[in-house]
Amino acid sequence: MTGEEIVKDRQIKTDNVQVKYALWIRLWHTMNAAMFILAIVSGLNLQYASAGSPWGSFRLHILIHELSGKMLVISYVFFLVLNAKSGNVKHYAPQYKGLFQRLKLQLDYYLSGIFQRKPNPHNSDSKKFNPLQQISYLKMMYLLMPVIITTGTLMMFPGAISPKVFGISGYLLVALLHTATGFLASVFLPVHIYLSIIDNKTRIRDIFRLKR
Amino acid sequence: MRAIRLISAIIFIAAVSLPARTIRNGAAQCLECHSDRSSGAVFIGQTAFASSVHGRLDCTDCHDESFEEFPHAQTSEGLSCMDCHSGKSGTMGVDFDAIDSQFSQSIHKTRRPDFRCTGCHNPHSFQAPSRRSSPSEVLIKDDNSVCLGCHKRDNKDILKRHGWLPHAKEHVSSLRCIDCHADQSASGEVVSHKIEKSSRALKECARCHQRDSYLLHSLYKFRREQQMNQKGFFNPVILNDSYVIGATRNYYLNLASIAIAAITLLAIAVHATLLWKSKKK
Repeated sequence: MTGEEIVKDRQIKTDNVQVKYALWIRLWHTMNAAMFILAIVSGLNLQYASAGSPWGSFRLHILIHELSGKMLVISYVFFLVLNAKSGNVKHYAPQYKGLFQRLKLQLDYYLSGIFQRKPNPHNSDSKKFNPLQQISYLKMMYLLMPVIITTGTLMMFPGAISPKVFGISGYLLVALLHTATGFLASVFLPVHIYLSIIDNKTRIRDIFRLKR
Repeated sequence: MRAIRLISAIIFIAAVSLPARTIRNGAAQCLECHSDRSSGAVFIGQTAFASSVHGRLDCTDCHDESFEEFPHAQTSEGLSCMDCHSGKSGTMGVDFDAIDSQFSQSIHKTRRPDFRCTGCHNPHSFQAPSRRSSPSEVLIKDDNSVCLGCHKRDNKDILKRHGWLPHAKEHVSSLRCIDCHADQSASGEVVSHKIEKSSRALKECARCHQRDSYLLHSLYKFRREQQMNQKGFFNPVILNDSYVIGATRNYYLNLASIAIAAITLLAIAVHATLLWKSKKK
């Protein structure tokens, strides 16, 4: 690293404006994270259930999965309402102009720039989410979550499921959609955690802190 | 090609024009009275009998020959199914000796030593489950009607008694009573006939909700034998019309999900290592 680069690097760290989170976002995010982890762990135990499993009984995991599912529905509605009311939803709205270029820039940073101590392109803009975050959070909250919640609710009330949909079992279709979307959301989690650790615009403790 | 079509057409016409199972002369004679409700004789439905597994037998193959005379000299007799159905090579290769031994340990036999096969199976209308082509919904209803014939309960009472189960309604309507109330560990090659007392009924959810589900050895036994294939696209045995959490698994989907998860975690690990090394420089 040259002297100039070191100065630049320090500048990035010090000039860096940390993202601040409103109380409702912190509350929702904490609840969402806790319930999501419970739902993933119990969901895995249901999908790979076996008699005499050391991880707890099937019945216990059904209870945990249903409870965490209900809490996730409540926290999702809370999110939808307050996200719209507070105007925070604007951070989720995609801006298609130059999107591809911005995505490439951000991806280049994570794949090579970050190792060469290059500045995070996101640091120089005033946006809350970088383009990768923006697109993944949008898909997560406004595409995957509604599917997970709808299919999960239907599985809690199987009487409402049509036994045959286009010649395929409705139960199979709903359950498979629930498992597949639940799985995709589970894979999102480690990536989300890792990127928030290495991102210098986010301080993890800021989003879990309940008091200012 | 035309020859094949012609032969197929002949076979089809021959098959549909063949008479349904015919009742033997001796039986037909008995059924003159016994299929007439107004006669006051023990009623046997002609169609049900003709399509039953015993439809081609003469009445005196099972009943005492003295019944050929009218008026009958006696009104009851000590029938034994095992006279014909003994040994593993018995009817349809079903091990009736195993069934008999399970039955002798069942709550029915231990509580009431005079309990017989005919207590549940009507020999005049019995159809072997493996030969039934009807969908499982009908099979379940038929099978449970045998139990409910004596254990008279209305739907509300059944649901109340099974209220401990999540989704009791779905469990009760898509399973046979014996799937939980018979000792499945005793089933082996045959449908378990070791009916247990209610306090010993199966209550461990994961016995059915797992890959090697009990259901594959009981309710879906016959379909499993035809269709079981570990790598089949969606396990066709159960998935035809239902989804059993934990038991419904697809080999390829599970493999894909494990691969995606592993690649993601690996990518994170590689990235983190590279980042750590670049910071050390």
